[in-house]
Amino acid sequence: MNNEIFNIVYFIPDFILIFGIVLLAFIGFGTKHLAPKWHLRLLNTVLCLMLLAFMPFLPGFLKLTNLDVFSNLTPFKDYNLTFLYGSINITPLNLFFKFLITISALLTSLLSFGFVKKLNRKISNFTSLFLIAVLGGYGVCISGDLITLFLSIEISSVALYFLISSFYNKKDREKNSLEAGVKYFIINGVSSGLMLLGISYIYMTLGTVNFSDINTMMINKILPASPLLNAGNLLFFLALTCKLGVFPFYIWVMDIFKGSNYAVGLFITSVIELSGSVALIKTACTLGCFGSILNFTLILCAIITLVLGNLIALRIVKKEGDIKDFLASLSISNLGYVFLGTAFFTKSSVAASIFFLVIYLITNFGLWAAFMLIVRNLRKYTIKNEISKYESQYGSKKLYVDENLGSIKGVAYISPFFAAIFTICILSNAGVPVMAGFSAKFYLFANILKCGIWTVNTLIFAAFASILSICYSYKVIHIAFQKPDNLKIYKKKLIFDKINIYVFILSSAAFLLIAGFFLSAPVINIINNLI
Amino acid sequence: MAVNFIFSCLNIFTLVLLPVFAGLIITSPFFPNSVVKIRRFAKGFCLFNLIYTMFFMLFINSETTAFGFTKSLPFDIIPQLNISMSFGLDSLSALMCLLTSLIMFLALMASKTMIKSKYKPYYSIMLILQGIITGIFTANDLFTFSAFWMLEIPFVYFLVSMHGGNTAKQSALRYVLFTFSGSVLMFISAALICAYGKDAGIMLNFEELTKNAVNFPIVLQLTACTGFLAAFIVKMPVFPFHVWLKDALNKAPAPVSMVLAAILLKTGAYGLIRINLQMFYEIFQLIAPTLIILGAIGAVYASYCAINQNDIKKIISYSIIAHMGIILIGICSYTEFGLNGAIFYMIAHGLVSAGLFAGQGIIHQKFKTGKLELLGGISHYIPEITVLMLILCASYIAIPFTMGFNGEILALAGGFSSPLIEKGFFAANLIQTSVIFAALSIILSAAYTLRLMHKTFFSLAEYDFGKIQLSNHQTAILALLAFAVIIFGIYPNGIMDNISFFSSFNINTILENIF
Repeated sequence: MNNEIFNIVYFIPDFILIFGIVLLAFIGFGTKHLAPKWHLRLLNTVLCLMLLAFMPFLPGFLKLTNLDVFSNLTPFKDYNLTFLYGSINITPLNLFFKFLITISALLTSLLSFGFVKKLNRKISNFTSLFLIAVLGGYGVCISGDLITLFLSIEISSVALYFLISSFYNKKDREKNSLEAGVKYFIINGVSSGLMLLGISYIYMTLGTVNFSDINTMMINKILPASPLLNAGNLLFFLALTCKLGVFPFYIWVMDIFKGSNYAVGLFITSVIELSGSVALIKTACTLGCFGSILNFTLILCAIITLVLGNLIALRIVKKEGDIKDFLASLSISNLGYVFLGTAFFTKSSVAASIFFLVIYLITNFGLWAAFMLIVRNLRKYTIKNEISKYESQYGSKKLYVDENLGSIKGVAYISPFFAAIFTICILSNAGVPVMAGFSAKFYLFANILKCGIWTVNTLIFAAFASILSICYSYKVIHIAFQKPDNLKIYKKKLIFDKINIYVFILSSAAFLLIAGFFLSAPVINIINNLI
Repeated sequence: MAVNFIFSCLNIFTLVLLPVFAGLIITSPFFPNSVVKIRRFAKGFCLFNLIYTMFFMLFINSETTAFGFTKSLPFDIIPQLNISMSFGLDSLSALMCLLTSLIMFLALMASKTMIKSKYKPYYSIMLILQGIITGIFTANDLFTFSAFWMLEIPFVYFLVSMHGGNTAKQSALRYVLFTFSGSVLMFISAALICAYGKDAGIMLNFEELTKNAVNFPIVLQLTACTGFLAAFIVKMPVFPFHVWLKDALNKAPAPVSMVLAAILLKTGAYGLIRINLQMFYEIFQLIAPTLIILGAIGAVYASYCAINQNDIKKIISYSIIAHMGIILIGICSYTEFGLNGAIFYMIAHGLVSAGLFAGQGIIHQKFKTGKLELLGGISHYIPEITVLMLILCASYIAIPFTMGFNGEILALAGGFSSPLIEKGFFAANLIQTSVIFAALSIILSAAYTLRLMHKTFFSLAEYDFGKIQLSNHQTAILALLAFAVIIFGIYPNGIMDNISFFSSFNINTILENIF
């Protein structure tokens, strides 16, 4: 394997991805009457192929679990390859993140099937833009310097502007998607400008933007003590909060979710925010320094995010608000924990926040699957059955019922199985034990507390946030276990009779969350060995 | 031979997980939907568990403080922090486990007549809750303890809110918020000790921690002690944090109230002994005088509130706060017989409050009201229950030759002769005054209990209730509890022998180290 041509193995997923983008775009130009489901099947095939391309690395990852079962596998080579003058960097950790992004993209495309079948535009535009955004996420993972990181984030952002603003279901209510897209464009543009300014400050003082060079300077302690460097770091990290959707720039998340399609919302919470947190984690390992002023600023931001996100969620649940708003606030509050762990800049706390991120992704997919299933039910059945009722009540044609949290009322009476697995997911989100959310939070807190006993002060606020989260989780469970006013709204058929992708993903998420409490050690081992 | 065979059958995982599995079997869709089958299945499992716990009690060695029957999961849950799940029993936890199985069995017996809907979820959650509470009492490390502590919250929430309307849900949510706020602070403390213990190379099981916790840095001890204390005083509940208890007990059906009052509150007292007193005694002695004063205030205040109530259930729930105050005084006294009395009174109070709630449930079911002004002359309709309730109430007033007398007198005497008085910490000079003040609550408890008895059982009824028959189940529950109250009132050493070594050893080590 000394020959450099074999290094192409590390880029096979990327090549498949680029090939897929071209293929899907050209199929959209060439064929007029191909049904949307074939486009989506092609998308899934491309993503599955990308996942298969990770197979050569699988034995190495399994070896890292430190389990006796895999002790005979070939050892993981501790490689650190750089390409294009250090702008692309391949390490096992980067491959792990790429793997996570691929899985998230595959699950997103599987779940979004029912929501993009009848779009206002060509489905091929959607699929190719989807893959371009994934390409941006890949770029974030393998970036070796700040410029590549910035460009990759911009690639996924540009794709996302169009994904948010141009696609809505013909019949459904996502009519203000253009407004959402413009909002995202403005806020993201401002933050991109700040990020570029920050990078330029860093380049001015250090003379380099390469991660490994900066890391070497940090280890040898030859960083110049210039206020410009601090300002650059601060600007860079504050701009990253916009890509993540945490405190100073968190406000777009709610608006954009409300305006966009469900599929796009899921895509933002999974792939986009995952790549944002990957960027945060990568830069925190190199730029951040424990005990600096930047450290304290980011911790403060994380605490405010936690409390604010949970308060918003509580308020939404209390007035039985929109489902998308609720999911958006969940993503804000959970990424707050990831942000908190990363903001301490120590190796163990960053590892703990990666573990939290993995558990959060599982919970997130479970909850989105549950709510998407409910919304599908509402759209599919109530529209046909209840139009006349709404006409007589309101005098006008109302083609949809409100997709708010009140619509999950009485789910427990229709499908106890669905209610049980939904409860597991939402309790894991709140950090109740025997779900992996508990052990993830415990691990995060313990690793933060290793930084010193003063961190108890910050964790008190995190504790307050989790009290709020338990409050709204119980309220959601309340609603699900209430007696329904009108049983006709749900057809039992869709929820339980057919084995559909939503129930499959939700139940496997619930299973993983319970198994994760007892068997989280291999995953933590992988992360600790990688970082 | 037979003894060896029985000993080899005793596995602590079975003790914790068997009720949980039984509960899961009931929930599964394959289990028949018939009420009788569900109830008998649940009761059978509970009876088996009671007998199984009794065997544990027989084999436990009360002459040592080491944990017996220790077992831990074959793999680590978070190996990076040395966290695994481990269980063990010593004389204190074995006693509490026995109380748990007994009360749970009686509560399931009482549910036959008092629970009229949602059988499947109710019985399965009751069984799962039994497993979880047993897990709290048998936990042998901090992670297991805090995990089970937080795990119990959602199940109690469902039990309290299941059979009530919107107000029941509100009070259940209040329970969740109060307990969860305490639990989260405890969660941070547990994480703190795990993070420190990993670096210092200390295992996290209780025996190691009991030996080593004194050597921790003082800031860490202070933080951890405060966090744990927050969880326990909310659960107990101590005076300013008692708001959730009254609502939760009032809105829940009677069997659930039995479980709540008799076992669940005792987990708080158990944790206070196990963690704050055994591990962090050096810090805890600073807070103990304040807690004694709070306990005394709570005892008198709650008794005073109970006098003014007009509902049986409200009187009982206020009185529980008062009696938990006396247990708190016994624990915080740092004397051998104070701790002995507190543990004894935990058992006594568990039996008596369960009995009173069972009696209240019977009265509510037969007469359809709990209001004192509407009831009266029950002794005329059902004389059996009157005699049994009279015995239980006598224990509540701490009349000699009942269980309440021994426990209360020991706890208060311990508080009065507390060695903390000489130390001169904050409020230490008020300890004796406040214990005398707390003794006032015995008089007040006599007042409200006798008022309760008089108004419900003896005065003349306003309405004619017709012919009322008591089922054998209901008589059996009350008779069993009343019998136990009298037997252990006359012969307290039956329980005291099991715990005397535990408390004397612990108090002696504490006093050696801090004086």
